[in-house]
Order: sequence, then structure tokens, then C-alpha cells
Amino acid sequence: MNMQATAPKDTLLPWRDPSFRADPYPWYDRLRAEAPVYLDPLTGGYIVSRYRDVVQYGKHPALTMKAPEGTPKGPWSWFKDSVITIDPPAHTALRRKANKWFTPKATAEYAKQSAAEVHRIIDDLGPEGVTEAYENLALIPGHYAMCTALGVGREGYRTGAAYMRDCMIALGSDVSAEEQERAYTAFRFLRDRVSHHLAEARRNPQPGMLASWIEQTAAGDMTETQLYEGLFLFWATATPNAAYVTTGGLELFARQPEYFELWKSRPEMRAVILAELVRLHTAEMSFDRFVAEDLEIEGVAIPKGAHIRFLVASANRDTEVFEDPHAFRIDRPEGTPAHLSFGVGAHICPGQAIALAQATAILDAVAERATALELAGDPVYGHDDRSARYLRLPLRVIR
Amino acid sequence: MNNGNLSMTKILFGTESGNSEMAADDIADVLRAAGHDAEIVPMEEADGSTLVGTGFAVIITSTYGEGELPETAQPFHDMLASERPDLSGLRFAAFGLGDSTYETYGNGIDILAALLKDLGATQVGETGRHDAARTEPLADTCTSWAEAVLPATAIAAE
Ligand code: HEM
Ligand SMILES: Cc1cc2nc3c(=O)[nH]c(=O)nc-3n(C[C@H](O)[C@H](O)[C@H](O)COP(=O)(O)O)c2cc1C
Repeated sequence: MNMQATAPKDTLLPWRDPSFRADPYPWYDRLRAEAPVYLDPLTGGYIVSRYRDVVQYGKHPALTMKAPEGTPKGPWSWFKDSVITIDPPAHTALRRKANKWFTPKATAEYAKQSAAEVHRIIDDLGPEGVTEAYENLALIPGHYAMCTALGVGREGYRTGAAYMRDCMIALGSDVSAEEQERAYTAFRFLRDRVSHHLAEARRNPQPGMLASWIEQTAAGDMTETQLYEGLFLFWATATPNAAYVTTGGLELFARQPEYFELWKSRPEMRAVILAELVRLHTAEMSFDRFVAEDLEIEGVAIPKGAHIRFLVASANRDTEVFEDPHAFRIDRPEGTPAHLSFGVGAHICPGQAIALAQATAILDAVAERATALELAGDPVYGHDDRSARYLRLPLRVIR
Repeated sequence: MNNGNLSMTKILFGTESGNSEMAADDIADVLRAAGHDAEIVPMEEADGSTLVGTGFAVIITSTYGEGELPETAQPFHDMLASERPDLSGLRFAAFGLGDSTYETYGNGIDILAALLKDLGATQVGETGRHDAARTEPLADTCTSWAEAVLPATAIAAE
């Protein structure tokens, strides 16, 4: 007795509406209550929004990363053989090429480079102590940790991250023709940079994952495509996501100084503070899959070939799980379920450890140098329908 | 025989993405703070001889796939299962990492603990467990488990 998914005339998800993009949570609340598995009239795909369904079905074996025949190609379709295009067991083998380079322990070491850059920026502040914190304290310091992990030079990432934004917009639900074009342009630049770093590493290998991958490719244990696409994913795509979390921490410390004090005085609380930051700053607000075998969620039958988008950002604010879900709280009851910001299942983010290591090292370095932080202007956010991002965080570092 | 060896606790960890290594470090800190020697051994560097002649060990592993052992624990398990060393001199404590949103929550540590017991070893204390589906940080869970279980049992071994 399968119910039909409801598709009311007025869509529950106005993807392009600026007020929806700025704050989608009122829409998500209604969605979870009225249509937790929603057949989206705009995209023809299914939207899953409750915590319990995202955590359970987001990792269901009936789902695949492989688009069925006839799915329109987009700017991201050039990825052919990487972790974002394949399923286990091949996926597991490919993920294992990166595992040991991105452990919590290894990434804490790389993140010393992030701390050093923060100290340099703070040394260099003017008399007012004003900086744009997203780029200068979060993004670029974070990138230096990634450069150390990979063993690549530091050049080219300011433009790279700006272009990456254009690529990410093309992963949204409602992408305009112009946005698609911009993503193609951005990929041309980024792919060229990745080729540059690969050529440099072949000429002059540095310790790190890239040199090891180049050797494995020469030995026939990886293909050229896996090498190139894998490098692209780590070098280009996700350091801004980590920087949004770090920037969220800086904004929190400026607005609610009691948490800055707590960060400084109770180091054992840092993991809990970070987890709550990551819950609220869902850099990637959704992930998506195709259905390889018929599936039923909350009584809604979802046919083979369908597309499902799992709304992580909605799950993270589901009142069934998180009381007072929009508030930053570190006194949630014992046994509270963990946030889903890094996804679930086999494709769970392999950058978790380096993202947390960057945030920890950067916030520690700022805490070492600043007595207080103040906003030096309004933050500028640049959310679209899939990414929750900062564009600017004007910050005064008080020493 | 070699008492120096017997009083050295070995902490073996098996992992996919490195969380078990953090647990190993935290558990070693608890033992050292209580005045014990502890040596951390990644499972990819361990074999049967690592445990033969060891009086007390802490075994740590996560669970991967559908209730399977993670990348570095599987070969260690398979080696022990085929070599079948006599571990009747070994006492061990076990700590598992998992995620309770999987039906096979914490299978990995149960598989390894069962094998060690099958090879003659004696488990002491309750198996500790960290659940990645809950907000409690790994460092807190493994430290409080180690403080409750280890000093007493490790001391008893000496
Ligand atoms: C430098 C930091 C980061 C790197 C290098 C990174 C890299 C990656 C890569 C390569 C994947 C694809 C994994 C796969 O398909 O097997 C991935 C997935 C993912 N990442 Fe990250 N990431 C980083 C930070 C973040 C942050 C901070 C967030 C969110 C707060 C995040 C959220 C996600 C999510 C939700 C997925 C799952 C996508 C899916 O299941 O389809 N990532 N990440
Ligand atoms: C693809 C995948 C499969 C998993 N399967 C299980 C499982 O079957 N049972 C379980 O208890 N935990 C499972 N987990 C959770 C991990 O054991 C948990 O995240 C752990 O903290 C990882 O520790 P490690 O980094 O030391 O490997 C799985 C995690 C992933 C990413």
C-alpha cells in the first residue's frame, strides 16, 4: 500500500527564491512535517529531509553514484573514475589510497602550517587589527595544510577557491544556463592548475600523498585518471568547506565571547564546540544518489532510476533529534545523535579529519594571540540551494 | 621468564580512517599516567609473535563495510586465524569503535576478541565501545573506559 509522494501546486522548495537561499530552515520544517519524502515538482527527484531517514537511507545499498543512461550531462560529468563516481567495492579500494594521509593524527601535523600562517597574518595586522577572516585566517591557512598533505606548492588557490564556488553552484537543484557556463569556465581553470601541480610533482617530487600516488600509478596500482581526478578532489574542491566551519567559529567567538573564553580555558571542550559548529555550518547542505533498485522510504515508493537528494542541513535541525535546533548549544543531553554534516555511509567525507584539524589549529592560534574578537562589519554569506558559504567575515583581532 | 616484557602493555589498533589510532594514544596516556609502560603497535605491523610472550594487551579496532574488520585489522586477523599461535599466556582488554546506525554495530571488536579467546587468551573487563552516531567525543569515551578498566587489570597482571 504505497502512498503517492505529494506534489502540491505550490512547491515546498523554491530553490531559487533569495529568501529561501538565505534561510531555508522554515521551508525545511514544513517539509519534514508535511512531506518528509517529497517528489520535487521542479526537478522530478525525491527529497528526503528527516534525520532518521537521512541517516538510515543515505547509506542504503540500493543507492548508487552512477547516473542512469540518459541523465543529462553537466559540468561535473568529466569525472570518470574517482570516489565520487563509483560504488563499493571498487570505491573502498580507491578510498584506501587516501586513508593513511588523512588520519586525525597525520592531519594535526599538517595543520601546524595553518597555525604558522595565522601567526604571520596576525603579525602583519594594521593598528586597528582588522582583517577579512574567511580568506586570510580560514581559507588560505587551511589550504597550506592541504598543500603539506599532498606535497604541492601553495600557489594559485585564491583564484582556485573563487572558481570552485562557481563549480559548486552547478551541483544545486535549480541551475541556470549561465551558472552552468560559469562552472565549465571554472573547471577549465582548475583542471589546468591541477595539471600544473601534477607536472611539478613529477619533475620535483615532495613528500606527501601526490608523490606516493605518482609512484603507485607508475607501478600500475592506480590509473592516470584516478590520479588526476583524485588530486583534483583533494586540491581543489573542499578546502572552502573546511574554511566555512573555521569562519563559523570565528563569528561565534566574536558574537558570543563566552565561547572564546571556553575554547581558551577548557581545551577538552574543543571537540564538542567543533561538533556543534559543524552541525550548524553544513557547508554541503545535501548529497544525492540514484536508485539502483526499487526502494520505499516513509511509505513512499521510489522507483529504480529515480534521483534522491538527502537534505543534510534539514536533518541537522530536525526537532525530533535536536531541541532548540538553531541555537549553538554544548549542553545537549548525553546520547544526542551526531550531526550528519560530513554525510553518511561509504562516501562519508574523507576530509573530516583535515577539516577539523585546520579549524582546531587556526582557532588555537587565534586564541593564543587575541584577547577578544569583534565583528568589523556585517558578515557576507553566499548561500545557494546546496552550499552554505561565507564570502566575507570582517573581523577585528584585539591583542 | 621475561618479566620486563610481561609488565609492558601492548596496545594494538586496527583502523580504516585513523580514529582507532587516536584511541590508542589516549589509552596509552591513561596507562602511563598510572605508572605503566605501554607500547602502541599498529596492526599492520603486528603478527602472532607480537602477542605471544605479552602478558597484557589492549586490542582496539573499528568496524567497516557491513560489520567487517577495517583495512589494517583484517590481515592481522587472517594471519592469527591461519597461524593459530598459543595465546594462553595473554590477558587482554578490548575497545571497539563503531556506529550504532549500522545493524552490525561494533562487530569488528567482537570478531577479534572472539578469535583471541579461541586462541587461549583471557579477556578482562567489559569491552569498551565508542559510538560515532552519538555526540560523545571519542577521547572522552575511551579515556573513561580505560580509567575504569585498565589500571586495576594491568596491575593485577604484574
Ligand atoms: C579540506 C577539507 C575537505 C576535503 C579534502 C573533503 C573532501 C571530500 C571528498 C573527496 C569527498 C568525496 C568522498 C566520496 O565520494 O567517497 C567528500 C564528501 C563529502 N564531504 Fe568533504 N571534504 C572536506 C571538508 C568537508 C566539510 C567541512 C564538509 C561539511 C561540513 C564536507 C562535507 C562532505 C559531504 C556531506 C560529503 C558526502 C558527499 C556524498 O555522500 O555524496 N566536507 N569530501
Ligand atoms: C563505510 C563505512 C562502514 C561502516 N560500517 C560499520 C559497521 O558495519 N558497524 C559499525 O559499528 N560501524 C561501522 N562504521 C563506523 C566506523 O566504525 C566508525 O566511524 C569508526 O569511528 C571508524 O574508526 P577508524 O577511523 O579507526 O576506522 C562504518 C563506517 C563507514 C565509513
